[in-house]
Amino acid sequence: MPAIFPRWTNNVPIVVGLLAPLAGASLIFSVWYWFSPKFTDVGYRPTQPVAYSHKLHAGELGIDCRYCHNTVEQAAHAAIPPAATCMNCHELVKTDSPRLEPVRESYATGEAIPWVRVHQLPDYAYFNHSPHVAAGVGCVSCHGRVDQMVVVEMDQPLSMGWCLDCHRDPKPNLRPLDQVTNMAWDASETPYDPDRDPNRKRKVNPPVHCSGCHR
Amino acid sequence: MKPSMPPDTNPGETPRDDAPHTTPVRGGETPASADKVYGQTYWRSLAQRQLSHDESADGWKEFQPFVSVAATSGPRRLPIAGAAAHAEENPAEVGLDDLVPRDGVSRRRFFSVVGASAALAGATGCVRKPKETILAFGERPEDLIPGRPMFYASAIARGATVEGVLVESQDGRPTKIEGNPKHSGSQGATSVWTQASVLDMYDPERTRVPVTGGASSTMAQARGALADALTAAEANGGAGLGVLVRYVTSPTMRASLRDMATRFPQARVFVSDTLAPWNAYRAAELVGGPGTRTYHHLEKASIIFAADADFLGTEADSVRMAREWARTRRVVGPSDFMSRLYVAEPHLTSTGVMADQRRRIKASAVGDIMLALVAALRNSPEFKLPPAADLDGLPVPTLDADTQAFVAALAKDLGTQENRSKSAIIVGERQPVWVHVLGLMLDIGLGNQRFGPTSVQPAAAPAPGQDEASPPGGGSLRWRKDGTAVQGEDLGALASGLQDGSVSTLLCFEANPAYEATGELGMAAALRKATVFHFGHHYDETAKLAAWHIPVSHFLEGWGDVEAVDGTMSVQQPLINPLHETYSVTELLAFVATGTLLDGYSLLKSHWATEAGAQFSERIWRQWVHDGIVSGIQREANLPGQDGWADAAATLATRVAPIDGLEVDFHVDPKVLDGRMATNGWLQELPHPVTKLTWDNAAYVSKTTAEQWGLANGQMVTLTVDGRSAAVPVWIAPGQADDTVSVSLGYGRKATPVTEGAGFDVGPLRTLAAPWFAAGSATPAGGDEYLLASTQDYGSLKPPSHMGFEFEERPIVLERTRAEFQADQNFVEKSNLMPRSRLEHLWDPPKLTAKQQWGMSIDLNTCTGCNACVIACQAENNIPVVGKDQVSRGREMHWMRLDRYFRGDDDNPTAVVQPMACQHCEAAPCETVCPVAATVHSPDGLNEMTYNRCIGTRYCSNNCPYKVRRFNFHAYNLDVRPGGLWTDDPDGAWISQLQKNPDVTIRFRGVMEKCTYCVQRISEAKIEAHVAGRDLVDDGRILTACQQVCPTEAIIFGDIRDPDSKVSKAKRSPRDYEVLRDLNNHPRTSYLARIRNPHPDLAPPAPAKAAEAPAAHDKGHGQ
Repeated sequence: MPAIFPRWTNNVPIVVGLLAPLAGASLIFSVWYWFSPKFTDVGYRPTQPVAYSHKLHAGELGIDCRYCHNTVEQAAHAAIPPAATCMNCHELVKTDSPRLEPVRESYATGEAIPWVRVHQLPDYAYFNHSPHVAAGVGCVSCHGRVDQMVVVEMDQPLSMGWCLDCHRDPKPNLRPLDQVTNMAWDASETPYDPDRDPNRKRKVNPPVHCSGCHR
Repeated sequence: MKPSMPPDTNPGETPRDDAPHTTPVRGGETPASADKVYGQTYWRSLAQRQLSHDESADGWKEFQPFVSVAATSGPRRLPIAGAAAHAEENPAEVGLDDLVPRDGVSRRRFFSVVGASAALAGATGCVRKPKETILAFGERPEDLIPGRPMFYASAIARGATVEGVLVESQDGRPTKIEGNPKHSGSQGATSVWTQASVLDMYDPERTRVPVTGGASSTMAQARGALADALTAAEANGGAGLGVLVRYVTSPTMRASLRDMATRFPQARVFVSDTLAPWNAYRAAELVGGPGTRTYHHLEKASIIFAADADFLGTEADSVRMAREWARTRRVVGPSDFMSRLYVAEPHLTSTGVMADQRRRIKASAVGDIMLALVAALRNSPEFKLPPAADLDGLPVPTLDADTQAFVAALAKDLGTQENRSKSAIIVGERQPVWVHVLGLMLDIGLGNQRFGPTSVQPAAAPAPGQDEASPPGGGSLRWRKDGTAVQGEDLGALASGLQDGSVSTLLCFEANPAYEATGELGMAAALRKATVFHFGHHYDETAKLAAWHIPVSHFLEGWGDVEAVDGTMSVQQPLINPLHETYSVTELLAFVATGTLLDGYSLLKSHWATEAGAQFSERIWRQWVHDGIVSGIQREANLPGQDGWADAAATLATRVAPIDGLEVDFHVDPKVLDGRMATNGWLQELPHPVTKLTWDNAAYVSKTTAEQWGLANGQMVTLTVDGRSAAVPVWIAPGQADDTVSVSLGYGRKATPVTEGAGFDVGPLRTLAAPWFAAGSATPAGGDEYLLASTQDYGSLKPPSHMGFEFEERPIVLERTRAEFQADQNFVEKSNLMPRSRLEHLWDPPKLTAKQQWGMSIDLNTCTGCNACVIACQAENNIPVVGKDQVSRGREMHWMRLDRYFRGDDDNPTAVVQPMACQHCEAAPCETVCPVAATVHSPDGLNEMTYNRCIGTRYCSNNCPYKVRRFNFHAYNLDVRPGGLWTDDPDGAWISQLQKNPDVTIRFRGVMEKCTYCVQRISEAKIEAHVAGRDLVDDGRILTACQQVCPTEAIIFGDIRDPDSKVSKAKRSPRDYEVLRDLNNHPRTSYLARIRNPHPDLAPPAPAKAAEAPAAHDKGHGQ
């Protein structure tokens, strides 16, 4: 009786045995790499309805973050400013710029400008800006050098593991409370120990349990 | 910590020697339990009781909560090729054909759904989250911080009851209602209906455009038609014009009605409101003239008699009354003051549950109790009647022995010097005028009147709404003259006016006469004869008969004002522009009165500018709107005279002897009231406070009566009163008086899909002459059994004895009489099965490292089971409505449930209510079994539930001894309508979404959920403290939703590590106990044992007496 399988099939188990771990490893790698927020989210840079440049306003003109995002110290959201905030200056500056047309229109009509959300957490994660600012976490720690971005993009993955890295060991990301919005503050230039800062009223003790962020 | 054990006690035994009230529970085989200390047998339903006494049952027999045949019949079988043939050949073998899919969802369907969602998940996994836009304001309103809720003061009126509220607005959406602490009617709490009323605004079934002739129209056309009708009516002086309103508490609307009388001199005003206490008002008006109102304050009352009055439940001003009553029940030490509550009623109500001494009796016999009480008291030196009230010649009723003993004890309590002017006689709205007159006489005779001829404090009355300073000697009865009260005609006059054509045009404001009118009036037919303009929220029974149905604004959408019974005045402010193009009733009524349609704001402000005259200013107006209270202006104190006692006493001649034979009782429903809340899904699904029925009303009867009828739960009975009949399913309700049947109003409505199939309309059985109880007859209606979904047997904490384990009764609800508490302060420890020293952990409990540790204390002595907490939790935590079908499968989603336990006789038990939600055990059994660590412990002692980790194994729920975890079997949040899973009305879903609390995750299908101690509120307070540089949250800063709403302040939440916090103090009470402590879970929620305060002359209903009964009971309920 002739053999059903040709002789070369004897090698199949060996080849499969060698390839299967490779395939498995590559699958794990691809999920780990391509599904991670580091790949999917970092660098996300949607086009905004108004070509607003943070580089110009926050960088070159040196406007403090809180001039526009003025709820950041009191609320969960660092709210997008109303058009009225823009018009504080732009009633005098660049009054006829066509790029500012949507802003002027929004101010006049009250219709909102549909800004595209850049930093978006899942709905079950409840992030609150105010305790982070109060703890002395710099804006730059999560948002990157916004003062150098013409179009804002995501700088950090904002994934749960990334959050927890800091919540478990917040010290490296803390800075003097008056330097929170300073984009250029550099810990290596001015060593800082939050435990010895007389301006701090309490020791930062971020939650690492589930209900700290999920409710 | 608990009091320690006596040193000589063998730790292996429960201490027994010094227990005065030991009780054998299950006689016979377990002699050891004969002198157990806990020693109570509690039951939730008769079915459960029967089973747990079923000694003939051998082995494991599952206790089936009441489910009708309809629910269990015919599961579908899975068709598999060849299986049938296989089964034919091998009949003994369990073949594939026997695979029965659950819930009628086929496996194929299941896989197709799962497959589709998996494919979808795969497709979306690698791309970014959906694009989202942020819509910033053009100009941000002052003080508004996006994402931070704002609270606005307003007020809500229902019948004559007014509650001041603070409404939470999330970015412009009102999402939750809290009580206004400044308002006398709510005092920081709210009733269950006020809690639920926020959902009404977002009801997708609200009419959005006017309807005429069954077709939708526009508001402009409707206004035109209305204006034409009014012009025509004006031409003939308003002859033929009728206006039907609810009980009007609004000064502005009253002014409009007065203006209307000028514009239409011959127009007639009718008032229809089932919730206003008309009989009490009629009695008061006899004494003090038109507009006279009486009400009670209970803060100082030591003896309270509720004569068929559900003052803790459905009657007027229940929140204020409950709060004041609860303050007389807050017992810490055994010698503390405690009031005594006597209740005589036909049907077990929330008030009856809280009674120290309850007499179940026909409603028609309650008047006789009052007569007997007067007879017993009138010769007492402490009893001083008003001069003109003549009591000679009063009939002397004959009472049975038990009632006589009840009256004797009550009279003895009332007649003592020490209780003089410290009692309250509260007569229920269901009682006729003559009983109310007796109530007033008794109150005055006992010195309970605060002002007036025989008052304890004959000083001048303070201004309305400002009489909060307590008088030295109590004085529970208050009088007030409501000078501008609307004197309208009743529905009887309306019906005859419609019939004889003298009312040809009817403007119907929010009232629903086609449903509410009593049966003999034939209102529906009468309404067809006239041109009806119906102003209401839904296309309801009256709207369908109307020429025009015109939608109106919700109270959160418009300006208004309301005046509470004590004179407290509030301005209602809108939280949002009308969702649909609607006007408020205030605006519409002013339009009718003046012919110009003004906006509510100008209307209100101009009314108050006139009313307050020179005292009015922009500043004071803003203050009123801000506070929710009209204050800072002089208002006249208005006390009625009391010249009419002779007239009032004359009504006693209208006494009717108690009904012989079957009495049919009608009740305002504790969930949907008189039907006006029936379109509210939250309230429909809410379990009834006593019977735990959802989505239905039923004919409540005692077991004895049901046995006489030969009917069981769910079988239909035809009730006939006055020649009209209605078929209603029977529900055996322990505590119901024999020979009576109680039915709730408010069901069987035909308004929206929510009311579809919910209950039975018993309105036609009522008559104007006897609206609340009447003689009637009952005959079995036959037919199929009706599915009634009651939650009373769900989530039992007690392993049934027939499972083969002989568990000792464990302290789940703990109660003692006051005398027993005084004799033995250590009863809590003695009730536990084991001393704490014997309890050991299998694993190390989680480390609790936080500086603050959250805990809760719930006082069973004041919890009335009013359900406000359940709805508050539902509103706060985005808990979905699941529908009757799902409830009947035990899938209701309420995080908090109110367990109601009976004890004693089947027909005449005492009852205890126990709120049960996640206990946040320190050594939580749920945490040890979760395979994915979705439920874990936080360092501050919360048992956390992390939805995004949960994979839905439901092990945690299985292992929870308190049965407080809820599983999302379906995506309930996708659809709010009952029975309508998977139906899609995008617009409806969109509107309902607006109510959701953005601080709480909306859970999807397949995850477990449970009480979180309102972790969102804890987080908010912690963040607030941390931002301010403080480590600790102040005591009292965090109020859980259930705590905040509780009318009796029974729930206290706070930091148990802080010895000075309120919750720590509560937990130090000798009454403090943990439910199922012997499991060693260390629950963070503990309860304060209930203390009953029965009259010493009457045999205490509880422990001591139960001693003789049990053995007989056990045998008696064998089958």
